[in-house]
Amino acid sequence: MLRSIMTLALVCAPVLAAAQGTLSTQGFGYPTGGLSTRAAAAGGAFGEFDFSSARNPSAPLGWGRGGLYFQYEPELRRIAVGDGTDNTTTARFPVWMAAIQMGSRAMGTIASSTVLDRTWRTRVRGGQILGPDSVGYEETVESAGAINDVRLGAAVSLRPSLSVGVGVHAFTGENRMSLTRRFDDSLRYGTLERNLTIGYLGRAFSAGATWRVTTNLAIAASARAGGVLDLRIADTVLASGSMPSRFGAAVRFDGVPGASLAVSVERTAWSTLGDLAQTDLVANDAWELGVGLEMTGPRMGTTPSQLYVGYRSRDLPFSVAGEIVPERFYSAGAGLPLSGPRVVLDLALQRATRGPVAGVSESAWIVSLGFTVRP
Amino acid sequence: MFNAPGADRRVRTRVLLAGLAAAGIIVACGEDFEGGAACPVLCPEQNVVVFDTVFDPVVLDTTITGFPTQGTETELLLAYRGDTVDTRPVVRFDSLPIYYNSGAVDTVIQNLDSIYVRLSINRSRSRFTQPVTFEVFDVDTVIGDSAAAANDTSTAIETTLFRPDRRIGLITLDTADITDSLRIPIDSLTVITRIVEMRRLRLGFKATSDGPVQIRIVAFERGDPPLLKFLASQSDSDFHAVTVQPRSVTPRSQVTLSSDLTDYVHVLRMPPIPDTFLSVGGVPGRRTLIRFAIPSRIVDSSNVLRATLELTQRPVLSVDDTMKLTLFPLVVTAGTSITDPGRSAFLTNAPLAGFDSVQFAPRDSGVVQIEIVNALRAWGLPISGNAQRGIVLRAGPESVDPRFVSFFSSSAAEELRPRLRVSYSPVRTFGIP
Repeated sequence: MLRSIMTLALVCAPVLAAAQGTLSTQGFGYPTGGLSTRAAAAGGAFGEFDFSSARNPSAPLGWGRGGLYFQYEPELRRIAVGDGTDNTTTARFPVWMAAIQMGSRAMGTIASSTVLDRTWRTRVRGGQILGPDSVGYEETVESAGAINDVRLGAAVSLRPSLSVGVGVHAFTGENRMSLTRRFDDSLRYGTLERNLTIGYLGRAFSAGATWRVTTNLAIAASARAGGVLDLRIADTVLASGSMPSRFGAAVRFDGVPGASLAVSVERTAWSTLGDLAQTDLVANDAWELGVGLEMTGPRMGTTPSQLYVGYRSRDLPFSVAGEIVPERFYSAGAGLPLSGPRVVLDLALQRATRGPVAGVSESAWIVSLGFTVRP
Repeated sequence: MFNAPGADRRVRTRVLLAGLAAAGIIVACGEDFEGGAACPVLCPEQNVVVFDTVFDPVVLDTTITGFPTQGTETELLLAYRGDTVDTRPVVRFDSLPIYYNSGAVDTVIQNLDSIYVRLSINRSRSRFTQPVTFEVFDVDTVIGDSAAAANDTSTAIETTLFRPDRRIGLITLDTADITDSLRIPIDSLTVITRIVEMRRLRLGFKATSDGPVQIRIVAFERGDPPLLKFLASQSDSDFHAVTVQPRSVTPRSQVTLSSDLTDYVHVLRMPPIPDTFLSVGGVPGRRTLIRFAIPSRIVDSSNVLRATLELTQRPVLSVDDTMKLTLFPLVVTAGTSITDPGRSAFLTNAPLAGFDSVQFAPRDSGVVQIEIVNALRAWGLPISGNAQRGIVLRAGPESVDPRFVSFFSSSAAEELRPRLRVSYSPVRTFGIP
């Protein structure tokens, strides 16, 4: 099955996503959130507790043993402006993680998650004065790539009810930009072609803790302190800023048999990215609120499946026409044990709505598939 | 037979996962890139700065005559327009057969009948309005022209041989009778004498009419050459059809040149072309070569979006001077090590490869524009580092149309010189939020 999932990834990998002037991919890109499929299915509320999400470095103790996690997440987006609409599809691989057991009370992880996905394409028609003539053209601007967070983490169980973890983060990635302005008569007018690769390199440190206060109540919290983030063109550092710091906390209640309820909150200081901006881009600090329910579902073999529902609300980091873009998620999903608890396929379906801002509204169906293997 | 419950579950699970994987692939790979409904509100505004500049870029401009080189024409212009235009093709039959095949054996030719020369005509491109008289002359310089025989690549002598005592064929055809194939009878005594004495036959053609005549004869280089045809016999009966292909065997030391000279054209009269101007067209064909010096900031560090060569045309009063003549801009493919303008004007890309053709009437005047943006873009490529930055203007086709257009050169007054108008966008960063 792992081979099948990897094949699926390879088939789709060359086909990068496209977007036509969207609300979600403004500025440095769309924050995918670092949530695993099961955490996203439950509105992100379990993100601080979830061992395969990239938020809380103390959570990987939930792996129990070493393993691998891989996630594939296509998004079907619809943008509406008045009577006009665009429909696009974006394929993402937002999280992968590998965990290694380090003794009976510690777990080491290496994880990569997409912080800001800047993959889009716009195609517009326009006109330009060249010499004495006004000439029509079609302009295609394309961006592919993302800023990714590669985290090296370790989690330790100090007591049966308390675990802590730390993480060292490296932020890498690039935006491969291309601009093509093709005039209507290619013999008379030359095509404007430009290509540019914007590189990013930064670092940060994170820490987190998970405390089971009572049998039915647990609290988790984590924070990431952003270090320097450089924006580069080839070997030249064009701008330096700070990677956004974040803080998140969540409460989990397990008092209902067969069900768990969680509420989470997260604050990300996206405004520090404003130091990198070369335009009048406005980056805003943003809150995220998540509520989710996790329930025991029908058994598959000897292992019960899991069912998830949730709601999540947040603001996107980059303003459009001076307005902050709100985003809402309604989500549901299931965790299917394919081979007992050791091989689990998580499925999630999220309905996202963004805006309306500046007369533009956006909605999306996000399909998420997460695959966990614990040999 | 019954499957175990666990096996059923595994089958169901695999079917489910296969369905999900297929759905995932379809969803992820079936992408739609078209749209733009949210633009310009959400589309990134690209800061594309475009500069326009006009400058005098010419480091060399000159006219080179002789395209295509004599003998390599694909069509031969047979023209006569009063005292303005007179061109006369020559076709060489340097190898005449002395036998014909009468079945099983070769038979010596001793008698001829129905001798004619067949010419293929580019009828649609030929012009005549009145009946045309075609004359064929024996222009072999060996016969009675011993001085020329020693140097028979000097075709100039031949022009003196279009005289009545050398005429061996004559026919007058109404315009309706001039189709895409002409037959002109030839004097049989002349031909049989050459065959028996194993000597060559060289035919010169002349056309006259009360109106203008321009007939384009398909040449040897185009694969349907003039042919000599007759009926051959050893006696007065039992004739067999014989077709003779044109062939030139001199100069014997230069095989390529001798092949080129299988057929060619003599220009006896043509409208005068002043040397002080740039000119394109005419017979023999003329090309204009212009070499440029273009600032590096434009060619190497910018996207050139438009480049217009502006020439000031001077009127030419000549035949058909209000009919537009097609010109092709060509980019010189010769390297910088080739300094000879003639060779540079020969080494070019093909017509319509990257450039639009333009049309000008010879009588017109004023500034004309020729778009050459793809030349400047090509010169900016790394592979073009050693390429000449030159443009050639040629007529199409060459050497079959007496018309030509003329332009002021870089030696003219400043306002009349060639200019280059360029719209370019310097390479800058973009896409940084």
